[in-house]
Amino acid sequence: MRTRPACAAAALLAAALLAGCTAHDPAPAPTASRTAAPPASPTPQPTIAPAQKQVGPPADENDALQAAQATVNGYETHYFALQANPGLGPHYLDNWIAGPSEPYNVAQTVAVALQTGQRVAGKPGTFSADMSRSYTGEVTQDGTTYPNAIAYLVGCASNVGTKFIGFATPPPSGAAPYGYTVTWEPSSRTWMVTGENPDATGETC
Amino acid sequence: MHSRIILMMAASVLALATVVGLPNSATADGSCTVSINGRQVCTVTSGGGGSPGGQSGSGSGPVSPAGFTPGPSTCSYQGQAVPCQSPQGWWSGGGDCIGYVSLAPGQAGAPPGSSSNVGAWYQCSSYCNPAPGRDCGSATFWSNSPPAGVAQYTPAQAAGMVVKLLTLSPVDIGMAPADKTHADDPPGTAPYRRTWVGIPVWLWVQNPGPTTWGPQTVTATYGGVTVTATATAGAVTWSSGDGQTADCGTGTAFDEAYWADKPAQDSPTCGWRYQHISNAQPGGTFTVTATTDWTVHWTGGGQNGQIAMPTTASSTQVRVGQLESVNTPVTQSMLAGG
Repeated sequence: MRTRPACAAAALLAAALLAGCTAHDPAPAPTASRTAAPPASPTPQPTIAPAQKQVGPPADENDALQAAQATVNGYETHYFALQANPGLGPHYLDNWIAGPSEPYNVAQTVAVALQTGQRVAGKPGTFSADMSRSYTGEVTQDGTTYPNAIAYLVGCASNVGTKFIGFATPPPSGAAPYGYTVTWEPSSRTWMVTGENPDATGETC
Repeated sequence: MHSRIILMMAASVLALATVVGLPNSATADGSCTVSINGRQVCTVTSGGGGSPGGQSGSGSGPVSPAGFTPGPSTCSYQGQAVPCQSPQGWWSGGGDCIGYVSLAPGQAGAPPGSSSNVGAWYQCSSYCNPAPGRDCGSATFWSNSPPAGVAQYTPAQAAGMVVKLLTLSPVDIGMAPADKTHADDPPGTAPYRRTWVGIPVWLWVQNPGPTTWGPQTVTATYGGVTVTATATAGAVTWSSGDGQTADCGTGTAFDEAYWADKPAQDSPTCGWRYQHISNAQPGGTFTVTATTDWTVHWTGGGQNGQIAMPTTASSTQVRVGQLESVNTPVTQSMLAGG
């Protein structure tokens, strides 16, 4: 489950996978684990990653955008839990992310949190897509085209209510333009967060 | 912004190599930022020391038509040479796509805020290893400029280029009262338009021609698509300066000779009667404005469409006075501003 979705998503995401991404690739510990300093919290224990409900391909663009927004909502909640307790491990969000940039980013976040003791508390951040500027694209995998299976969400992220503990420079409280890429993955029949863009522009938040 | 998202997607492919242990690992280039939610968001580069986004390939390849960026002449991915061209298009080592890029065969509508007369959907196809059992896939992305190597426009894009060849000018204003010096003006007075409250004002397009009224047609080929575009003025909106407007066609020219000594009448097609004097206005005159709405219809490449063009406008000044009560009928001389 950890390897296969990531591989499929990599192909979906216009990936140039020279070496190929096969179902047999082992999934060694992420780079982040090799650089992790002695944790400030208990040693990470195997944790059951929160699951997603399987859904069919989107019926239309609106369906896709709504599903993508809902996925981001869940992603925000579960990512918050991981940031609050990085001991859940870098694979805690495996059922919500594919990429591979997102697994990499999550691994980095966990590693940094374990190294520095950074934590979050309070309430999870939120993201609200501006549907008038968000849009979708089609995805083709193994010869099958899925219209609207990739959603590019542009909107505003807010961290109001989130407490940042142990950050040398906590993110300023408020809302800021943000973007997410969310892809419906045929193999898992779930929507996955496959990219995020903290440099989204054009929104007034 | 959209391209930034896709760039992250593309770059993220390389990061997978690190996370799940693919060969030719990619690494973060050290430029991780902390998002608003306190998370690490990293930029990754290929392990071969490539430029950000895994960019590879040089830009001194084949000559492309003007306005297009040539495709690369040497291409690599994670240290291994890959063909710069494939049936799926030209190699793109970064930016919106890591893979082979081409104009998407089906063009959906433009994303919000974008125009299909400017940008297009492009297809990014992954580099497919011939080994059996691996995934090959593609995704579409929007770009307002053709990626390197892509030397083809959609018909709508070509139309967007062709309309730039059109010359659209504001109308020459035809108006009664005419622009002239009046019998009771002091010697040396410059010509000007003068009328009175309640007197008919006629408005028309003076000498309408292809550039001021259309139709104006141009045909040109851009990006392999030949498009014919025809511009026509849909209407001209006249503004009196005292709050009245009139949407008209070319209007009816005032025939001063015909109307001589006849009671003044309203224009059968376009005009108004002023309801206020202009003394309180800047310069003592109202500004009459004629704004032309243009529409361009194009056809080419088996498609057709319309493009809304910027309006053109021209204006003139008119002085509006108040007549004393009289018992004689209003005549042409008054209408003409005498």
